[in-house]
Amino acid sequence: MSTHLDIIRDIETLPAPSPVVVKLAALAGERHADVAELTSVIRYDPVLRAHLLSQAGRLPGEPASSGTNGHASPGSAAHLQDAVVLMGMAQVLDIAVMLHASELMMPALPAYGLVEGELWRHGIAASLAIEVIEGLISVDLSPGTQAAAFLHDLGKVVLSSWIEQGGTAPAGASRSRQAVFGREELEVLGVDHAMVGARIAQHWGLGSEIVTAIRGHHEPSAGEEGSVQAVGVANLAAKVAGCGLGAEGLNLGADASACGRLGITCQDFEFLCAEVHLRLPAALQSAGRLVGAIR
Amino acid sequence: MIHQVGIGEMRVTDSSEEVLIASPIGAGIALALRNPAARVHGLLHFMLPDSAAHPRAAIENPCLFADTAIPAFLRTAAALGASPAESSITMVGGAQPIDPTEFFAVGARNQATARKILWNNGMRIESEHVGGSSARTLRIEPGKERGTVVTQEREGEA
Repeated sequence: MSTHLDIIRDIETLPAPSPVVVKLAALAGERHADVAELTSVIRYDPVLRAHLLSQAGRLPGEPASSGTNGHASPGSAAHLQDAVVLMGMAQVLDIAVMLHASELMMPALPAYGLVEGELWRHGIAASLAIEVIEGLISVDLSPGTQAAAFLHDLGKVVLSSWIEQGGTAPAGASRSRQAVFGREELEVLGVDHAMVGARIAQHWGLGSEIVTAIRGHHEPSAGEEGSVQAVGVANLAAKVAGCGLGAEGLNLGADASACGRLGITCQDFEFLCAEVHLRLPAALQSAGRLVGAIR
Repeated sequence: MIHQVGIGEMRVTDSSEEVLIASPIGAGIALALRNPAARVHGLLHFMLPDSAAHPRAAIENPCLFADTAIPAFLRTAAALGASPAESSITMVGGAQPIDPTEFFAVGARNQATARKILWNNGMRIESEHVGGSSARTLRIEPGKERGTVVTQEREGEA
């Protein structure tokens, strides 16, 4: 029990996201957030604003013209609003969350067999997988799903040091038998990384949809929203594409009903893995510019 | 000289200096080819069994899928003088999550497809280290009869 409380204390000492990120998550939860309101929130975060403008400039389509000379001036509200419309709520929130959490996800996590940057790369791959999944299915996913996919293994950042301190690795327990990695975490520490990640997201005020998707990514159950199933599938696709295997490998339970509920076939899943692999280098490069912006 | 062979990559060489490593190997399969007579060794690391799942990806990178990668791998080895009759194959990987429905059995499908293609090309699998759910590393050194496979459980010969 004391370990459990100590873990909660560690969660609460993590740097909190800016109010802009929290507000964006809340607006994402409203589903029909006003673009002007989104833009007015983003303007309070100069790093996010600059990155969105930069990203939007790389996308097809010109920002709409406005202003006295017929063109929106760079950095203007109209220009930023166009960027938000071009990118969409999901991607804006994903970038905002990445800006906050990337530094936390960069260090190596020896207890999980993850080298420097691997947890971060796995998050990027899972977030990318959500983009691909959205193109495959007719179910609407909540705007926070991409951000949830990026953060889904964030709990490992907190648990890693506890596993090392205890000298007992879930990987060590799993070695001798075919046991699900997350259940070993529960046995050793009383919590698993999905629970801890959800607790972090809750502490950060990221909204119930993101919290639920992180908590359920290893064991999505019938009746949960599509975003929970999608994050679970995205996690698997990222691992099949070679990102974030570490000590866990593929030692996790997989729920085929998640794909059934989303309408994803076996061949769709293999397409998803291939597409993630193809697009990942560009996604990492783009996300790498974010990390460069905050270092 | 160490050459990393990532997912969707292959390397075939007649250099006695080159060590080939594939890591991590998850659901994908790493095939090591050795032909002592021609002094050729090679490593292929593919991810998925069937290019029909994503034809455009197969055009951009044939080494991603077993059905396009393995023939290309064998052709490249043959071009360096490694005949199928005198070449041996080691197969490593094909891990998968715990899924009773086998929906996510990509690893098993990779294994089955690789065996079929190799059989059809007259290749024998001399050794293998496949299945389970752990990620693996395969290291092939010229002049050594056996490769080295590393998993979370153990390090041993391939």
